[in-house]
Amino acid sequence: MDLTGASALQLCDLRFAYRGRDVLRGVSVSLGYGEVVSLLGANGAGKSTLLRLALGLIGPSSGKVLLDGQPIERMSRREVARHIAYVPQTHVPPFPFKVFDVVMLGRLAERGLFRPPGPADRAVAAECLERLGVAHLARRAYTEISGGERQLTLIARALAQGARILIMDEPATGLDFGHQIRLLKRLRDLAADNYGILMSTHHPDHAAAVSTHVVLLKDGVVLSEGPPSLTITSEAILRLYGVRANVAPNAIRDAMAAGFEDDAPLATAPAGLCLDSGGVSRFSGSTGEN
Amino acid sequence: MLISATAMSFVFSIESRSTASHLVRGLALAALVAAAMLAALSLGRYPLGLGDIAQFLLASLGFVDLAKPRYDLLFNVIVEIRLPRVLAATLIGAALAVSGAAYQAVFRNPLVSPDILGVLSGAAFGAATGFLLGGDQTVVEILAFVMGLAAAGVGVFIARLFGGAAIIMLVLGGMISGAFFAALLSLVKFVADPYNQLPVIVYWLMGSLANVTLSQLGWAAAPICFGIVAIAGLGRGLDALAMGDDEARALGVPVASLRFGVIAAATLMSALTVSLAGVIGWVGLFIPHVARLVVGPSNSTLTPASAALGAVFMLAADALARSIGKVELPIGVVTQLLGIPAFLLVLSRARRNWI
Repeated sequence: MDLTGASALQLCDLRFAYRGRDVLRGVSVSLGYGEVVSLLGANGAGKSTLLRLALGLIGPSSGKVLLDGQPIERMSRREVARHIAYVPQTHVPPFPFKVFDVVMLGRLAERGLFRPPGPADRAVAAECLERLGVAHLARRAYTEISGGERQLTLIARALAQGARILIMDEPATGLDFGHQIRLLKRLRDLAADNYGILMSTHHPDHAAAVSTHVVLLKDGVVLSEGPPSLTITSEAILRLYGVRANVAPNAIRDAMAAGFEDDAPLATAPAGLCLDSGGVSRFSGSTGEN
Repeated sequence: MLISATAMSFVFSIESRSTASHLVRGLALAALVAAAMLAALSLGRYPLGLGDIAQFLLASLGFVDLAKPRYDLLFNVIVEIRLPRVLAATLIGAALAVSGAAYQAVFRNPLVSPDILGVLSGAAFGAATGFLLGGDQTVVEILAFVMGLAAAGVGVFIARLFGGAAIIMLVLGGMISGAFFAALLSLVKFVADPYNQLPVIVYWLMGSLANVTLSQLGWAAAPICFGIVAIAGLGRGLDALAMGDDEARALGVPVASLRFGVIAAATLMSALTVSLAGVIGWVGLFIPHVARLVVGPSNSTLTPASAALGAVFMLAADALARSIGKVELPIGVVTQLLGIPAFLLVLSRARRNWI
């Protein structure tokens, strides 16, 4: 079954008000299988609220969230969980669960609370760990592995859920540069395998590198949207974040395309943006105006 | 193909290892409980060896003939005097430890104990009121039980008034409810007759297994066992809850009903223990930590392990309470004195896993 391009998740004209204030207004986003849609915006622009609406964790004040054409609010949590998985920002739970057990939580959606998991579920969990390249961590405590490894574990759990739509809250936050690039590559591979990914990010260069579609949010409304090359411009960055930046798009994408190997040294430092005022630029490779 | 082949062998190794080790640990814990119960049966004023107990068991099953006076004596000591205590310690220890583990999972905090919602304060107030009203044993127990549930109910109600099922609101609601019932308890103590009623209240609140009867145990056993099984059965949902509310819901878990269901079961169990034996502290707080060191944090295995270790600890505490001095010590005091060094030991071993 080729689902490419079919609209998996549609957010239609969403408004969300909290304590009389509109957090989101008239926001429409559509995500298809095989697509990566990135949300960009300053802190408080409404990205997290939009993700929570897309997951059905909160209901909109008006508008609709459609999952494969069906309104999400009529589905049970378990039904939603079989289609949409959430990859939150990494955090450390209070108890030292094994990495394998964390991934096994993904099978709850399939089995329900009362049916214990069987060998088939364990096989799925192990395969997902294998796929994300973290199978060797299975018996380690989730609380003791690195942030990047935790992120991969959470993605493995999302895959174990059997969902085809992944909602990610700033997946690269807190990762070192190498882990960021590796993670972005994983996301692109997943999209190539027909997963639909909706993510928020604080890095315009990450959005540029992996997205098929970018949505710029400012103060709860969509500023502009479209393919990254048309949306992520110096002018858009200025309006979103209030800083001037030269945009040299595709730099990270080029780095990823250049046969990125896990242990290979980076020949060029990929730079997406170079700030020329008010910011600190540590990247070389593209020049600012000063 | 290669991936799935390695994945399969990998699963196989994990599975055989974990089921085998769980089985071994489960059997070891069950054996430990049985041994502790036997030891507790043999311990007391009247000297009784394991041989005597075995002889009595075989005789009552009809395998061995035993002289009538001897049989009656053993029946009196073992069944009428010691068995209620041993069963009470087992049941109460298991109930407190499991409700502690459940509260810790639901509140996503390893330092939570069964009185976080004010259950113990409420039950203590209920019992004290019972003594004020004349001190009939049944009235005291029923009031303790009902007020324990009421205190937790008030805590949850306050939380719902402000923040739904959010953890911080439940903690604050429990604090308020606990403080309210603690104040009421002080009031009852103040009003109580200082010569007759006050000492009874004070002693009762220190906890004792001395007055538990087999018939009381009969009606308390079913809800406690049901609570343990239910909480163990919901273990994987509790694991998901530990990751955070949004995450658990996105994993398909009905967070609010799971949280309130488990709170209800755990509250029922801890209120029952208070109505049977008074306030027995610390067991619910530190036994789950010991259990986590033994079987890991997954709630479906942690729950039965907590039950077993709670039972063993309570049997040991009761044995000490009975034998340490000329008079029996209140068991609540013993669990507290034993619990503190045990908890320090656990902290020093497991610190890195929590903080």
